[in-house]
Amino acid sequence: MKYLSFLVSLAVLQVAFAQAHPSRAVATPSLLEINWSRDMWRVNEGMFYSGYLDVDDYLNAKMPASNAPPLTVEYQRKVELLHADALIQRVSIEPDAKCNICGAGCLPYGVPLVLTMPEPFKFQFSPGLVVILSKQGYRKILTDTLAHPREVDPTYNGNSIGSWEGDTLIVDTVGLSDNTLIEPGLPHSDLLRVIEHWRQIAPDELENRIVISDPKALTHPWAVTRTYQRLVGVEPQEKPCI
Amino acid sequence: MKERAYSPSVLSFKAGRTSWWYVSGLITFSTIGYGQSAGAPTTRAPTVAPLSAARLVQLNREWGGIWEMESGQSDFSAWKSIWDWSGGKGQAPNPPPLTVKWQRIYDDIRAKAVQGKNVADFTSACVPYGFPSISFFPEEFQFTRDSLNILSWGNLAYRHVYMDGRKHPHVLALTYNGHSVGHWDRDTLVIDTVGFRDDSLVDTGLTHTTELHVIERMKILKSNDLEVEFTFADPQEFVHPWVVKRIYERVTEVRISAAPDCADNRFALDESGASIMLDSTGKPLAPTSLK
Repeated sequence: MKYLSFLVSLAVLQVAFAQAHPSRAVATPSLLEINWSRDMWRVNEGMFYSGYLDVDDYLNAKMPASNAPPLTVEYQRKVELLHADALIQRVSIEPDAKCNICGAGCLPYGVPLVLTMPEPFKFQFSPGLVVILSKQGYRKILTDTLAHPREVDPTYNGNSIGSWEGDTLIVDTVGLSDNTLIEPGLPHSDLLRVIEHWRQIAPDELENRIVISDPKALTHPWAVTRTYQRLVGVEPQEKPCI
Repeated sequence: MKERAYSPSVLSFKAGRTSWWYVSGLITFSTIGYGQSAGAPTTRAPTVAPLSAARLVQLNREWGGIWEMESGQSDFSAWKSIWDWSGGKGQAPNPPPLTVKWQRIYDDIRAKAVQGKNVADFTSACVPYGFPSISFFPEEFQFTRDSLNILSWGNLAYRHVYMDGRKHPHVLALTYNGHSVGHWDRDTLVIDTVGFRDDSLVDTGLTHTTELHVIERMKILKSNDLEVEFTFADPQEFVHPWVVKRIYERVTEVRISAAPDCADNRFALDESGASIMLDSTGKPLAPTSLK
Protein backbone atom coordinates (compact mmCIF):
# COMPACT_ATOMS: atom_id res chain seq x y z
CA MET A 1 0.00 0.00 0.00
CA LYS A 2 2.82 2.37 0.94
CA TYR A 3 4.58 1.49 -2.32
CA LEU A 4 1.41 2.14 -4.31
CA SER A 5 0.98 5.52 -2.62
CA PHE A 6 4.56 6.34 -3.47
CA LEU A 7 4.00 5.49 -7.14
CA VAL A 8 0.81 7.56 -7.28
CA SER A 9 2.64 10.50 -5.70
CA LEU A 10 5.39 10.19 -8.29
CA ALA A 11 2.84 10.19 -11.09
CA VAL A 12 1.11 13.27 -9.68
CA LEU A 13 4.44 15.07 -9.35
CA GLN A 14 5.35 14.10 -12.93
CA VAL A 15 2.11 15.56 -14.31
CA ALA A 16 2.44 18.69 -12.21
CA PHE A 17 6.03 19.16 -13.32
CA ALA A 18 5.14 18.66 -16.99
CA GLN A 19 2.36 21.21 -16.78
CA ALA A 20 4.58 23.71 -15.03
CA HIS A 21 7.33 23.22 -17.59
CA PRO A 22 5.63 22.47 -20.92
CA SER A 23 8.94 22.41 -22.75
CA ARG A 24 10.02 19.51 -20.64
CA ALA A 25 6.84 17.53 -21.29
CA VAL A 26 7.32 14.43 -23.42
CA ALA A 27 4.92 14.27 -26.37
CA THR A 28 3.54 10.79 -26.47
CA PRO A 29 2.69 9.55 -29.97
CA SER A 30 -1.01 9.10 -29.88
CA LEU A 31 -2.61 5.82 -30.71
CA LEU A 32 -4.06 7.44 -33.81
CA GLU A 33 -0.60 8.40 -35.05
CA ILE A 34 0.65 4.87 -34.50
CA ASN A 35 -2.40 3.47 -36.26
CA TRP A 36 -2.27 5.86 -39.23
CA SER A 37 1.46 5.40 -39.80
CA ARG A 38 1.11 1.66 -40.12
CA ASP A 39 0.77 0.50 -43.76
CA MET A 40 -0.23 2.88 -46.56
CA TRP A 41 -3.51 4.40 -47.72
CA ARG A 42 -5.17 4.94 -51.08
CA VAL A 43 -8.16 7.04 -52.07
CA ASN A 44 -11.41 5.28 -52.89
CA GLU A 45 -12.94 7.98 -55.06
CA GLY A 46 -11.96 9.19 -58.53
CA MET A 47 -9.76 12.10 -59.52
CA PHE A 48 -12.59 14.59 -60.02
CA TYR A 49 -13.90 16.33 -56.93
CA SER A 50 -16.77 17.51 -59.11
CA GLY A 51 -17.87 13.92 -59.73
CA TYR A 52 -16.75 13.07 -63.28
CA LEU A 53 -15.42 9.55 -63.72
CA ASP A 54 -12.26 10.38 -65.66
CA VAL A 55 -10.81 12.90 -68.12
CA ASP A 56 -12.76 11.47 -71.06
CA ASP A 57 -15.98 11.68 -69.08
CA TYR A 58 -15.22 15.28 -68.19
CA LEU A 59 -14.34 16.31 -71.74
CA ASN A 60 -17.38 14.63 -73.31
CA ALA A 61 -19.89 14.84 -70.47
CA LYS A 62 -23.48 15.51 -71.42
CA MET A 63 -24.57 15.96 -67.79
CA PRO A 64 -23.35 18.63 -65.39
CA ALA A 65 -21.05 17.66 -62.53
CA SER A 66 -22.67 16.24 -59.39
CA ASN A 67 -20.61 18.61 -57.19
CA ALA A 68 -19.67 21.47 -59.50
CA PRO A 69 -17.18 24.01 -58.17
CA PRO A 70 -18.70 27.44 -57.50
CA LEU A 71 -16.66 29.30 -60.13
CA THR A 72 -16.35 33.03 -60.51
CA VAL A 73 -17.19 34.46 -63.94
CA GLU A 74 -13.49 34.90 -64.71
CA TYR A 75 -12.62 31.31 -63.89
CA GLN A 76 -15.70 29.88 -65.57
CA ARG A 77 -14.26 31.42 -68.74
CA LYS A 78 -10.79 29.98 -68.04
CA VAL A 79 -12.27 26.52 -67.46
CA GLU A 80 -14.23 26.70 -70.72
CA LEU A 81 -11.11 27.73 -72.68
CA LEU A 82 -9.04 24.96 -71.10
CA HIS A 83 -11.82 22.46 -71.78
CA ALA A 84 -11.92 23.50 -75.45
CA ASP A 85 -8.14 23.23 -75.81
CA ALA A 86 -8.07 19.85 -74.10
CA LEU A 87 -10.88 18.57 -76.31
CA ILE A 88 -8.86 19.23 -79.46
CA GLN A 89 -5.72 17.99 -77.68
CA ARG A 90 -3.88 21.27 -77.91
CA VAL A 91 -3.07 20.82 -74.22
CA SER A 92 -3.33 17.89 -71.87
CA ILE A 93 -5.13 18.02 -68.55
CA GLU A 94 -4.03 14.50 -67.62
CA PRO A 95 -2.40 14.59 -64.18
CA ASP A 96 0.61 12.61 -65.40
CA ALA A 97 1.38 15.03 -68.25
CA LYS A 98 5.06 15.58 -68.80
CA CYS A 99 6.66 18.70 -67.46
CA ASN A 100 6.49 21.24 -70.25
CA ILE A 101 9.27 23.38 -68.92
CA CYS A 102 11.41 20.48 -67.81
CA GLY A 103 11.39 18.43 -70.95
CA ALA A 104 11.15 15.21 -69.02
CA GLY A 105 9.75 14.02 -65.78
CA CYS A 106 6.20 14.35 -64.59
CA LEU A 107 4.78 17.35 -62.90
CA PRO A 108 3.88 16.82 -59.26
CA TYR A 109 0.14 16.68 -58.74
CA GLY A 110 0.27 19.36 -56.08
CA VAL A 111 -2.32 20.01 -53.42
CA PRO A 112 -5.26 19.31 -53.51
CA LEU A 113 -5.10 17.11 -56.61
CA VAL A 114 -2.74 14.70 -54.82
CA LEU A 115 -5.51 14.04 -52.27
CA THR A 116 -7.72 12.49 -54.91
CA MET A 117 -5.21 10.64 -57.09
CA PRO A 118 -4.80 6.89 -56.62
CA GLU A 119 -1.21 7.02 -55.38
CA PRO A 120 -0.68 5.12 -52.12
CA PHE A 121 0.66 7.33 -49.37
CA LYS A 122 2.04 6.85 -45.90
CA PHE A 123 1.76 8.98 -42.78
CA GLN A 124 4.91 9.54 -40.77
CA PHE A 125 4.66 11.27 -37.40
CA SER A 126 7.31 12.84 -35.21
CA PRO A 127 7.15 15.60 -32.59
CA GLY A 128 6.17 18.81 -34.36
CA LEU A 129 6.01 17.29 -37.81
CA VAL A 130 3.81 15.15 -40.00
CA VAL A 131 5.20 13.91 -43.29
CA ILE A 132 3.16 12.21 -45.97
CA LEU A 133 5.23 10.00 -48.28
CA SER A 134 4.15 8.89 -51.75
CA LYS A 135 5.54 8.46 -55.23
CA GLN A 136 4.83 12.18 -55.63
CA GLY A 137 7.51 12.89 -53.08
CA TYR A 138 6.74 14.13 -49.61
CA ARG A 139 4.41 16.64 -48.00
CA LYS A 140 5.58 18.30 -44.84
CA ILE A 141 3.10 19.53 -42.27
CA LEU A 142 4.47 21.54 -39.36
CA THR A 143 2.48 20.84 -36.22
CA ASP A 144 4.49 23.04 -33.88
CA THR A 145 3.82 26.24 -35.84
CA LEU A 146 0.72 28.34 -35.29
CA ALA A 147 0.76 30.48 -38.42
CA HIS A 148 1.98 30.52 -41.99
CA PRO A 149 4.88 32.83 -42.80
CA ARG A 150 3.89 36.18 -44.24
CA GLU A 151 5.53 35.34 -47.56
CA VAL A 152 6.47 32.01 -49.04
CA ASP A 153 7.54 31.14 -52.57
CA PRO A 154 4.77 29.10 -54.18
CA THR A 155 5.54 25.41 -54.51
CA TYR A 156 3.64 22.38 -55.71
CA ASN A 157 2.85 21.13 -52.23
CA GLY A 158 2.59 24.52 -50.60
CA ASN A 159 3.25 25.44 -47.01
CA SER A 160 1.27 23.33 -44.54
CA ILE A 161 0.64 23.74 -40.83
CA GLY A 162 -1.41 21.31 -38.84
CA SER A 163 -2.82 20.43 -35.46
CA TRP A 164 -4.89 17.77 -33.75
CA GLU A 165 -8.32 18.71 -32.53
CA GLY A 166 -9.53 15.69 -30.68
CA ASP A 167 -9.40 12.83 -33.13
CA THR A 168 -9.19 15.06 -36.22
CA LEU A 169 -5.95 16.13 -37.86
CA ILE A 170 -6.47 19.55 -39.40
CA VAL A 171 -4.07 20.67 -42.13
CA ASP A 172 -4.02 24.20 -43.54
CA THR A 173 -2.09 24.77 -46.77
CA VAL A 174 -1.29 27.98 -48.65
CA GLY A 175 1.50 29.07 -50.99
CA LEU A 176 0.44 26.69 -53.73
CA SER A 177 1.96 27.08 -57.17
CA ASP A 178 -0.62 28.01 -59.81
CA ASN A 179 1.10 25.56 -62.19
CA THR A 180 -1.27 22.89 -60.91
CA LEU A 181 -4.92 22.11 -61.37
CA ILE A 182 -7.33 21.56 -58.48
CA GLU A 183 -8.72 18.71 -60.54
CA PRO A 184 -8.15 18.05 -64.26
CA GLY A 185 -9.39 21.11 -66.15
CA LEU A 186 -9.74 23.36 -63.07
CA PRO A 187 -7.00 25.97 -62.64
CA HIS A 188 -6.58 28.11 -59.55
CA SER A 189 -4.91 31.33 -58.48
CA ASP A 190 -2.12 32.03 -56.03
CA LEU A 191 -4.75 32.62 -53.36
CA LEU A 192 -5.73 28.96 -53.19
CA ARG A 193 -6.07 27.65 -49.67
CA VAL A 194 -6.81 24.03 -48.78
CA ILE A 195 -7.97 22.96 -45.34
CA GLU A 196 -8.16 19.25 -44.62
CA HIS A 197 -9.89 17.44 -41.78
CA TRP A 198 -8.53 13.91 -41.46
CA ARG A 199 -10.43 11.44 -39.30
CA GLN A 200 -10.46 7.69 -38.91
CA ILE A 201 -13.96 6.37 -39.57
CA ALA A 202 -13.20 2.65 -39.48
CA PRO A 203 -10.18 0.48 -38.54
CA ASP A 204 -9.01 0.49 -42.16
CA GLU A 205 -10.59 3.70 -43.46
CA LEU A 206 -9.81 7.39 -43.19
CA GLU A 207 -12.00 10.28 -44.19
CA ASN A 208 -10.75 13.68 -45.31
CA ARG A 209 -13.23 16.55 -45.41
CA ILE A 210 -11.53 19.13 -47.60
CA VAL A 211 -12.43 22.78 -47.93
CA ILE A 212 -11.00 24.44 -51.03
CA SER A 213 -11.11 28.23 -51.14
CA ASP A 214 -9.80 30.67 -53.72
CA PRO A 215 -11.34 34.16 -53.77
CA LYS A 216 -10.29 34.68 -57.40
CA ALA A 217 -11.52 31.33 -58.75
CA LEU A 218 -14.40 30.35 -56.44
CA THR A 219 -17.32 32.42 -55.27
CA HIS A 220 -17.32 30.62 -51.93
CA PRO A 221 -15.36 27.75 -50.30
CA TRP A 222 -15.92 24.42 -52.00
CA ALA A 223 -16.41 21.42 -49.68
CA VAL A 224 -15.43 17.97 -50.92
CA THR A 225 -14.89 14.65 -49.12
CA ARG A 226 -12.54 11.79 -49.77
CA THR A 227 -12.16 8.39 -48.11
CA TYR A 228 -9.05 6.24 -48.06
CA GLN A 229 -8.59 2.50 -47.66
CA ARG A 230 -5.69 0.92 -45.81
CA LEU A 231 -3.21 -1.04 -47.97
CA VAL A 232 -1.79 -3.61 -45.58
CA GLY A 233 1.90 -4.42 -45.97
CA VAL A 234 2.57 -1.92 -48.76
CA GLU A 235 5.83 0.02 -48.46
CA PRO A 236 6.79 3.46 -49.81
CA GLN A 237 7.85 3.35 -53.45
CA GLU A 238 9.96 5.63 -55.55
CA LYS A 239 8.59 7.99 -58.18
CA PRO A 240 9.15 6.22 -61.50
CA CYS A 241 7.67 8.88 -63.77
CA ILE A 242 10.55 10.04 -65.97
CA MET B 1 10.73 -3.78 -63.67
CA LYS B 2 14.45 -3.81 -62.93
CA GLU B 3 15.36 -6.39 -60.32
CA ARG B 4 18.33 -8.39 -59.27
CA ALA B 5 19.02 -11.04 -56.67
CA TYR B 6 21.12 -9.54 -53.98
CA SER B 7 23.97 -11.52 -52.49
CA PRO B 8 24.81 -10.81 -48.82
CA SER B 9 28.47 -11.72 -49.44
CA VAL B 10 28.88 -8.56 -51.52
CA LEU B 11 28.32 -6.48 -48.42
CA SER B 12 30.68 -8.21 -46.05
CA PHE B 13 33.34 -5.58 -45.85
CA LYS B 14 34.19 -2.67 -43.59
CA ALA B 15 33.43 0.66 -45.13
CA GLY B 16 30.56 23.66 -46.18
CA ARG B 17 26.83 27.66 -47.61
CA THR B 18 26.27 24.93 -50.47
CA SER B 19 27.85 25.70 -53.81
CA TRP B 20 24.61 25.95 -55.73
CA TRP B 21 26.37 26.75 -58.98
CA TYR B 22 28.27 23.55 -58.55
CA VAL B 23 25.24 21.52 -57.72
CA SER B 24 23.30 22.88 -60.66
CA GLY B 25 26.21 22.06 -62.96
CA LEU B 26 26.40 18.37 -62.12
CA ILE B 27 26.44 16.52 -65.36
CA THR B 28 24.79 13.24 -66.06
CA PHE B 29 25.71 10.90 -68.80
CA SER B 30 22.40 9.30 -68.70
CA THR B 31 20.45 6.82 -70.66
CA ILE B 32 17.21 7.59 -69.02
CA GLY B 33 15.78 4.35 -67.81
CA TYR B 34 12.15 3.49 -68.18
CA GLY B 35 12.01 0.75 -65.62
CA GLN B 36 9.25 0.85 -63.05
CA SER B 37 10.17 0.39 -59.44
CA ALA B 38 8.11 -1.51 -56.91
CA GLY B 39 8.13 -1.39 -53.13
CA ALA B 40 10.62 -3.75 -51.53
CA PRO B 41 8.79 -6.39 -49.54
CA THR B 42 9.90 -7.09 -45.99
CA THR B 43 11.50 -10.44 -45.46
CA ARG B 44 11.83 -10.52 -41.72
CA ALA B 45 9.83 -9.28 -38.77
CA PRO B 46 11.22 -6.16 -37.09
CA THR B 47 13.78 -6.95 -34.39
CA VAL B 48 14.34 -3.49 -32.93
CA ALA B 49 11.70 -2.05 -30.61
CA PRO B 50 10.01 1.20 -31.63
CA LEU B 51 11.53 4.32 -30.14
CA SER B 52 10.13 5.57 -26.87
CA ALA B 53 8.38 8.94 -26.83
CA ALA B 54 11.27 10.50 -24.95
CA ARG B 55 13.87 9.15 -27.36
CA LEU B 56 11.76 10.40 -30.29
CA VAL B 57 11.76 13.91 -28.88
CA GLN B 58 15.47 13.76 -28.11
CA LEU B 59 16.54 12.47 -31.54
CA ASN B 60 14.43 14.89 -33.55
CA ARG B 61 15.68 17.74 -31.42
CA GLU B 62 19.35 16.72 -31.78
CA TRP B 63 19.05 16.15 -35.55
CA GLY B 64 16.53 18.95 -36.22
CA GLY B 65 16.87 21.80 -38.66
CA ILE B 66 17.90 21.74 -42.29
CA TRP B 67 21.39 20.43 -42.97
CA GLU B 68 23.26 22.25 -45.71
CA MET B 69 26.59 21.14 -47.10
CA GLU B 70 29.35 23.33 -45.69
CA SER B 71 30.54 25.84 -48.26
CA GLY B 72 33.89 25.17 -49.84
CA GLN B 73 33.12 21.52 -50.42
CA SER B 74 32.50 20.33 -53.94
CA ASP B 75 31.81 16.84 -55.21
CA PHE B 76 33.40 13.70 -53.80
CA SER B 77 36.31 13.89 -56.25
CA ALA B 78 36.89 17.46 -54.99
CA TRP B 79 36.89 19.12 -58.39
CA LYS B 80 37.43 22.85 -57.75
CA SER B 81 35.02 23.65 -60.55
CA ILE B 82 32.61 21.62 -62.64
CA TRP B 83 34.04 23.44 -65.60
CA ASP B 84 37.48 22.00 -64.85
CA TRP B 85 35.98 18.56 -65.29
CA SER B 86 33.94 19.35 -68.37
CA GLY B 87 36.71 21.51 -69.81
CA GLY B 88 39.31 18.77 -69.54
CA LYS B 89 41.53 20.77 -67.19
CA GLY B 90 43.68 18.71 -64.87
CA GLN B 91 42.71 15.72 -62.77
CA ALA B 92 40.44 15.25 -59.80
CA PRO B 93 42.18 16.10 -56.50
CA ASN B 94 40.51 13.09 -54.84
CA PRO B 95 40.05 10.65 -57.70
CA PRO B 96 37.90 7.57 -57.20
CA PRO B 97 39.96 4.34 -57.01
CA LEU B 98 38.61 2.84 -60.23
CA THR B 99 39.38 -0.46 -61.85
CA VAL B 100 41.07 -0.32 -65.24
CA LYS B 101 37.78 -0.95 -67.01
CA TRP B 102 35.91 1.77 -65.13
CA GLN B 103 38.75 4.26 -65.47
CA ARG B 104 38.25 3.89 -69.21
CA ILE B 105 34.49 4.42 -68.85
CA TYR B 106 35.07 7.48 -66.64
CA ASP B 107 37.63 8.98 -69.05
CA ASP B 108 35.32 8.34 -71.99
CA ILE B 109 32.43 10.16 -70.30
CA ARG B 110 34.70 13.09 -69.53
CA ALA B 111 36.01 13.19 -73.09
CA LYS B 112 32.44 13.33 -74.40
CA ALA B 113 31.62 16.16 -72.00
CA VAL B 114 34.70 18.08 -73.14
CA GLN B 115 33.46 17.74 -76.71
CA GLY B 116 29.99 18.83 -75.62
CA LYS B 117 28.46 15.55 -76.69
CA ASN B 118 25.86 13.30 -75.12
CA VAL B 119 25.44 15.11 -71.88
CA ALA B 120 22.33 16.47 -70.23
CA ASP B 121 21.85 18.46 -67.08
CA PHE B 122 19.61 16.19 -65.03
CA THR B 123 18.44 19.11 -62.95
CA SER B 124 16.87 20.54 -66.10
CA ALA B 125 15.18 17.32 -67.05
CA CYS B 126 13.91 16.69 -63.53
CA VAL B 127 15.08 13.12 -63.71
CA PRO B 128 15.41 11.96 -60.10
CA TYR B 129 18.82 12.94 -58.77
CA GLY B 130 19.27 9.65 -57.01
CA PHE B 131 21.54 8.91 -54.10
CA PRO B 132 24.26 10.00 -53.44
CA SER B 133 23.79 13.02 -55.75
CA ILE B 134 20.82 14.03 -53.66
CA SER B 135 23.11 14.42 -50.66
CA PHE B 136 24.52 17.59 -52.20
CA PHE B 137 21.23 19.32 -51.53
CA PRO B 138 20.03 20.53 -48.12
CA GLU B 139 18.12 17.87 -46.27
CA GLU B 140 16.18 17.24 -43.10
CA PHE B 141 15.93 14.23 -40.85
CA GLN B 142 12.65 12.97 -39.48
CA PHE B 143 12.95 10.15 -36.97
CA THR B 144 9.75 8.20 -36.44
CA ARG B 145 9.16 5.29 -34.06
CA ASP B 146 10.64 2.78 -36.48
CA SER B 147 12.16 4.65 -39.40
CA LEU B 148 14.09 7.66 -40.58
CA ASN B 149 13.02 9.87 -43.45
CA ILE B 150 15.69 12.00 -45.08
CA LEU B 151 13.82 14.79 -46.86
CA SER B 152 15.55 16.64 -49.68
CA TRP B 153 15.25 20.35 -50.31
CA GLY B 154 16.58 19.91 -53.83
CA ASN B 155 13.35 18.35 -54.90
CA LEU B 156 10.57 16.46 -53.20
CA ALA B 157 12.54 13.22 -53.06
CA TYR B 158 12.99 11.40 -49.79
CA ARG B 159 14.99 8.46 -48.56
CA HIS B 160 13.08 6.10 -46.31
CA VAL B 161 15.49 4.31 -43.98
CA TYR B 162 14.16 1.29 -42.08
CA MET B 163 15.39 1.41 -38.49
CA ASP B 164 13.49 -1.61 -37.16
CA GLY B 165 16.30 -4.10 -37.54
CA ARG B 166 15.19 -5.57 -40.83
CA LYS B 167 17.73 -6.60 -43.48
CA HIS B 168 17.72 -5.83 -47.17
CA PRO B 169 15.30 -8.06 -49.09
CA HIS B 170 16.86 -10.88 -51.05
CA VAL B 171 15.29 -9.67 -54.28
CA LEU B 172 15.54 -5.93 -54.76
CA ALA B 173 13.59 -3.64 -57.04
CA LEU B 174 16.22 -1.20 -58.26
CA THR B 175 15.56 2.45 -57.54
CA TYR B 176 17.31 5.82 -57.77
CA ASN B 177 17.72 6.09 -54.02
CA GLY B 178 18.27 2.43 -53.27
CA HIS B 179 16.98 0.43 -50.31
CA SER B 180 18.26 1.68 -46.95
CA VAL B 181 18.43 0.12 -43.53
CA GLY B 182 19.94 1.84 -40.53
CA HIS B 183 21.09 1.26 -36.98
CA TRP B 184 22.91 3.07 -34.20
CA ASP B 185 26.54 2.48 -33.36
CA ARG B 186 26.52 4.39 -30.08
CA ASP B 187 25.96 7.98 -31.20
CA THR B 188 26.75 7.29 -34.86
CA LEU B 189 23.92 6.65 -37.28
CA VAL B 190 24.91 3.99 -39.78
CA ILE B 191 22.89 3.67 -43.00
CA ASP B 192 23.46 0.83 -45.42
CA THR B 193 22.06 1.21 -48.94
CA VAL B 194 21.93 -1.15 -51.90
CA GLY B 195 19.61 -1.73 -54.85
CA PHE B 196 20.55 1.18 -57.09
CA ARG B 197 19.54 1.63 -60.70
CA ASP B 198 22.57 2.11 -62.92
CA ASP B 199 21.43 5.33 -64.60
CA SER B 200 22.37 7.80 -61.91
CA LEU B 201 25.69 9.13 -60.69
CA VAL B 202 28.00 8.43 -57.80
CA ASP B 203 29.90 11.62 -58.53
CA THR B 204 30.56 14.07 -61.33
CA GLY B 205 30.72 12.06 -64.52
CA LEU B 206 30.94 8.83 -62.53
CA THR B 207 28.29 6.24 -63.22
CA HIS B 208 28.01 2.93 -61.41
CA THR B 209 26.56 -0.57 -61.63
CA THR B 210 23.61 -2.06 -59.80
CA GLU B 211 26.14 -3.60 -57.39
CA LEU B 212 26.88 -0.23 -55.80
CA HIS B 213 26.82 -0.42 -52.03
CA VAL B 214 26.95 2.73 -49.92
CA ILE B 215 27.50 2.95 -46.19
CA GLU B 216 27.06 6.28 -44.44
CA ARG B 217 28.28 6.94 -40.94
CA MET B 218 26.69 10.11 -39.59
CA LYS B 219 27.56 11.85 -36.39
CA ILE B 220 26.75 15.24 -34.90
CA LEU B 221 30.00 16.83 -33.85
CA LYS B 222 30.65 19.00 -30.80
CA SER B 223 30.76 21.94 -33.19
CA ASN B 224 27.06 21.28 -33.90
CA ASP B 225 27.92 20.31 -37.48
CA LEU B 226 26.98 16.98 -39.01
CA GLU B 227 29.79 14.79 -40.29
CA VAL B 228 28.92 12.12 -42.85
CA GLU B 229 31.45 9.53 -43.88
CA PHE B 230 30.45 7.89 -47.17
CA THR B 231 31.92 4.55 -48.18
CA PHE B 232 31.28 3.59 -51.78
CA ALA B 233 31.88 0.00 -52.79
CA ASP B 234 31.31 -1.75 -56.07
CA PRO B 235 33.63 -4.67 -56.83
CA GLN B 236 33.35 -4.08 -60.57
CA GLU B 237 34.07 -0.37 -60.33
CA PHE B 238 36.34 0.33 -57.35
CA VAL B 239 39.60 -1.47 -56.58
CA HIS B 240 38.89 -0.79 -52.92
CA PRO B 241 36.08 1.05 -51.08
CA TRP B 242 36.15 4.79 -51.66
CA VAL B 243 35.77 6.73 -48.41
CA VAL B 244 34.83 10.42 -48.46
CA LYS B 245 33.76 12.76 -45.68
CA ARG B 246 31.29 15.61 -45.81
CA ILE B 247 30.40 18.29 -43.29
CA TYR B 248 26.91 19.77 -43.08
CA GLU B 249 25.90 22.89 -41.19
CA ARG B 250 22.60 23.24 -39.44
CA VAL B 251 20.11 25.90 -40.59
CA THR B 252 17.39 26.63 -38.07
CA GLU B 253 16.02 29.96 -39.26
CA VAL B 254 13.90 28.42 -42.02
CA ARG B 255 10.56 27.38 -40.55
CA ILE B 256 8.49 26.60 -43.62
CA SER B 257 7.25 23.33 -44.97
CA ALA B 258 7.29 24.49 -48.60
CA ALA B 259 10.13 22.44 -50.03
CA PRO B 260 10.56 22.97 -53.76
CA ASP B 261 10.28 20.32 -56.43
CA CYS B 262 12.57 20.22 -59.46
CA ALA B 263 9.63 21.42 -61.53
CA ASP B 264 9.63 24.64 -59.51
CA ASN B 265 12.98 25.42 -61.09
CA ARG B 266 12.72 27.00 -64.45
CA PHE B 267 15.27 25.19 -66.53
CA ALA B 268 15.01 23.68 -69.97
CA LEU B 269 17.30 21.97 -72.44
CA ASP B 270 18.43 23.49 -75.71
CA GLU B 271 19.23 21.49 -78.86
CA SER B 272 22.68 20.48 -77.67
CA GLY B 273 21.37 19.26 -74.35
CA ALA B 274 22.80 22.20 -72.42
CA SER B 275 20.67 23.76 -69.74
CA ILE B 276 19.12 27.19 -70.12
CA MET B 277 17.22 29.09 -67.50
CA LEU B 278 13.77 30.41 -68.30
CA ASP B 279 11.99 33.41 -66.89
CA SER B 280 8.51 33.15 -65.46
CA THR B 281 6.98 33.45 -68.96
CA GLY B 282 9.10 30.61 -70.31
CA LYS B 283 11.56 32.71 -72.30
CA PRO B 284 15.29 31.90 -72.05
CA LEU B 285 17.14 34.05 -69.54
CA ALA B 286 20.83 33.28 -69.72
CA PRO B 287 22.00 30.51 -71.99
CA THR B 288 24.71 28.31 -70.57
CA SER B 289 26.81 25.85 -72.46
CA LEU B 290 29.09 23.01 -71.63
CA LYS B 291 31.26 23.74 -74.64
